[in-house]
Amino acid sequence: MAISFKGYSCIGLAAATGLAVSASLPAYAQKEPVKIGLMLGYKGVYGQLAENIDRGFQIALEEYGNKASGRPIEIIRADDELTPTVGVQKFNKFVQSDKVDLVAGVIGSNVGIAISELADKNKMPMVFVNAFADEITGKFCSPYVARTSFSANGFEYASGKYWASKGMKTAVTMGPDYSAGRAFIGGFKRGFEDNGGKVIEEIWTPFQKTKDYSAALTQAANSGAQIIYAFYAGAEAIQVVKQHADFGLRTKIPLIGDHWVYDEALWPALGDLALNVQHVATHYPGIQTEANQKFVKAYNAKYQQDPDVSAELGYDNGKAIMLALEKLGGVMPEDRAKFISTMRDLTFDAPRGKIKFNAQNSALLEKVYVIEIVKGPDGKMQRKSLDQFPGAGDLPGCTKSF
Amino acid sequence: MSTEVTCRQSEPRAALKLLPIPVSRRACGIPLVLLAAGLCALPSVVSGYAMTLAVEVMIAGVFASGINLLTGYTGLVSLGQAMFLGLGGYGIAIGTALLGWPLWVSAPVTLVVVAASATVIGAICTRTRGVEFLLITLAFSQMFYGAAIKLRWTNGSDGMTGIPRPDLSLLGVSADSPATFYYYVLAVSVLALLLLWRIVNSPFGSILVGIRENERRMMSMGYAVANYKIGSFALAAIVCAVAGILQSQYTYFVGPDSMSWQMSGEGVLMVIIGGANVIFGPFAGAAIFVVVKQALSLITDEYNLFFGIFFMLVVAFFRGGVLGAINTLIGKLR
Amino acid sequence: MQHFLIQALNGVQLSMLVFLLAVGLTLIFGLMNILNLAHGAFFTMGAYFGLVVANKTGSFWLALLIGPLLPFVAGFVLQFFILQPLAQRGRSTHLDLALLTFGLLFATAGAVEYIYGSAFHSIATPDMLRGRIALLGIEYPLYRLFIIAVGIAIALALVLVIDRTLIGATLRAGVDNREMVTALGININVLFALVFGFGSALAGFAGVVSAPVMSIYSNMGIGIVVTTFVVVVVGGLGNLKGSFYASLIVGMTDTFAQAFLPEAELFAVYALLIVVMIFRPQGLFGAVGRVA
Repeated sequence: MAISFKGYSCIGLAAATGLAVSASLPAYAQKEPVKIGLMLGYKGVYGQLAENIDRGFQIALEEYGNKASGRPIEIIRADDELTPTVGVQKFNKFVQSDKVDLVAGVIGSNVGIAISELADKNKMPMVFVNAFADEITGKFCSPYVARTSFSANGFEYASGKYWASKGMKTAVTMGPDYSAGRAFIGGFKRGFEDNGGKVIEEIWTPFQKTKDYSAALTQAANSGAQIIYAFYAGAEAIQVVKQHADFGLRTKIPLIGDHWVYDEALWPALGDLALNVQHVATHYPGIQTEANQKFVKAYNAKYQQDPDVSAELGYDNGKAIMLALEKLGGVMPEDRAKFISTMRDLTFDAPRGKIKFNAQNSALLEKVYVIEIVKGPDGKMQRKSLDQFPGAGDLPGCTKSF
Repeated sequence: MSTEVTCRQSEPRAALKLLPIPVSRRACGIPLVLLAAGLCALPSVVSGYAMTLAVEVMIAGVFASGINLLTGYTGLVSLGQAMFLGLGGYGIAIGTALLGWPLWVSAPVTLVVVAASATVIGAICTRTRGVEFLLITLAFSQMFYGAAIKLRWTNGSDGMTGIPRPDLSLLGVSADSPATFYYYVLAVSVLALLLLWRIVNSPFGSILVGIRENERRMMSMGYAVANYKIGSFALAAIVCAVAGILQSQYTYFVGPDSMSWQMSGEGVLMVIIGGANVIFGPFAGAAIFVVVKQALSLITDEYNLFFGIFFMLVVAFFRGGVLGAINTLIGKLR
Repeated sequence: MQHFLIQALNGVQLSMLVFLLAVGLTLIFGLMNILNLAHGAFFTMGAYFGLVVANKTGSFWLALLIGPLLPFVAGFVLQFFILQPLAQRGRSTHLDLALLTFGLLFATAGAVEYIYGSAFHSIATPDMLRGRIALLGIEYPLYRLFIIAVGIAIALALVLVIDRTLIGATLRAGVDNREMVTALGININVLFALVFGFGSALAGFAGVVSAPVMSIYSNMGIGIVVTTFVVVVVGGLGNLKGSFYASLIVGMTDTFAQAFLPEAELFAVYALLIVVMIFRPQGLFGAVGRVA
């Protein structure tokens, strides 16, 4: 069937329009995006934390309209499953296949330690959101590795010091047996014992493998200490708090920990068990600073709930990256170590307080808050600040200079 | 018997299958040369990511080849070979990081230690057969896995990082570059393949196959079957350990997860896919497995689900593996 | 002393959970010579199905009753329609079937993760069993005592059935001489499929029972299946009473290692298995091929 003249002219018109449109497209799609590889443990015991970190990260990017100096930002997500082997594979993929400009995220210190070596060798900037183990900016320091949260020692040494000064003389510690667990509990022990306390016993549970803490809790109850000081997060925290209550230990030997043990995200699962507990925290929604109120408002507007500590950490991560990118005009320098060193020179007001970096690219903790969870006037649980103290410095250990 | 002709001999011998496809003596050489040329030229033709995939395939292929010696040729199905993969990696990690020995000392020492321990473990395991053998190898590998998680001086569940690649500065290149590392792994894989070929072609190899086919008859013929089984176990362990060394150098990292029984299962799957008791089988299986896994991870995050289904389908239907299936197909077409 | 006794209770509680799993596995192996690595998958299935029931009805007891039904059906179907035909066709050896079930284990974990995600779930302890009993100076959770009681009750029930009823006799006969039983007109395939289903249902039951104490998560089957194997081998494959004693041994070893010798924790149980396999490969408690 032959095509009529009308038909040809329609085709011609369509073709011409198409050409015109495609010719004008480059005018809009001019700027190449900045690619950020975001690696978090979406699967596994810290899955809840990953979700909230992602949310906080997005809030930070939205402050800049998801653009760095006019260049759109593209986030490529990967799941490290909280396992070093998988994290390493995904990192390689970021570097070789996705060709990202920088990698952000990583919750687990186990993954963090494995990746810091790769980041150094591949000259790829790695901006850790969590990964608190001291060795990451100590023994494994690198000009390509930075951390926007804080080191375990910075947080827990100060915490140990505080509890010792509050009249606690003896403690038994419980924690997951991996780098972050050991770093946190180690920091606490140092701070506690340097200030007159004594850690009677250290109990370690296999990380990600323990579901039943009865043996460990019974052990702790038997130690004769005044308190159990624990570091657990995510699903593990739920189990520990619940089983602690199951064995009737809430009155016998209180479980004191940090903000992850009693994280907001876990309140639905913990129910009343989260009430009237005291813990240390680096952030809570009630902090009365401009930076924090702005953050809490934005988070509530988007997600209809208050941000928890993980969301705040994600926000800091995103904000630091954006500030560094803006300073560099949105262009990743040839020598990517310069990106990290630009970040290191930043000082800014984060929701948790002022953020500054030390010479090893590790962010420092300005303040630590002591919180009690109480029932607010509206019947819902909320955090009440009892006290605050400054964070401690990092442990030495970095032998490189950059 | 079969109509297949192998490369070297004119009469069929079960142990000497290179490819289960009928080929004449001369015709065998040409595809091999082409393959070799292609592999050598690979880095200049493809991008960095495809090269890293190729490296992963080769490392997996070496691991699967070790398993193939034990499982395909000797007929002992083990779910614990990953323990030697891990031991290889941990061996050089401990040697270089904790003891401060250079790589060219750590690697051979590791292999010797692996050989010795594999002989002991093999002596215990080969007293059983079939399902009990499966279970006891699984138990040993779980034991090593648990020990790796618990041992503080190897960093427990965090694993050890900072494992060095070979120092090729004498040749003027750095093994940190993907292309150089690719050639290094290629060289090692070829060496491993050659070693396996020699083993399988030797009288030792024929005896292993004989044990697989009919153990009692081999015993009645006067062979010390137990010793051969232990020997096969130890050799397989060494090859798996070599793969472990390569793996840990590739990622600069080794952790307890390399000893998990899921890892052993992946190795067995690769052997089954590619075709057991065929020399190139494990590498073919490894290629298919790695590529499928990569493709799947682009589509979905649910790797476990597809791994499981894939495994089931292969076991149920692909007896003889993919190469075996090709052979059957060609046989049908004749 | 008191601490020791509390840990002993913890150990017995773990033993009972493992026993519920081991029973199914050892029956299946004893009768059909199949190494069902997918047994952990039924544990997972039962737990998740129980979760669905508990969420819909709010009742733990209904979850306990109905939860195991899904694994029962799944086990029956697996044996009757897949494993049996494959075995009879002669295409697959016992080893192949074992590997097949290995694949199924991972497929189930993946499927469950696909549907439910990797978050941890839980079933609430029933009101009747909340609270603690003052025992030996500390308060021991009532629910954990319930688990111990359930385990012992099922063990006794099974011994009664196997030893005293016709079905039990048929099962024992089937293990000893399959052809003869078929010749007697009993449909051995249906019988075996029923036993497979029942064993799987027990695993599912264990899944629901353990849910309030441990959590429900996608990899739960993979973790526990290896411990179950240790029990089954130590007790003797196919030996019901043996697996009861073996689960006690394994449960106590694991708990005491965790409490008193943490360095040996993940290690001790496998070392035990290896020692047993070296010195008594048929298991500690009896000859091969007999049920109870």
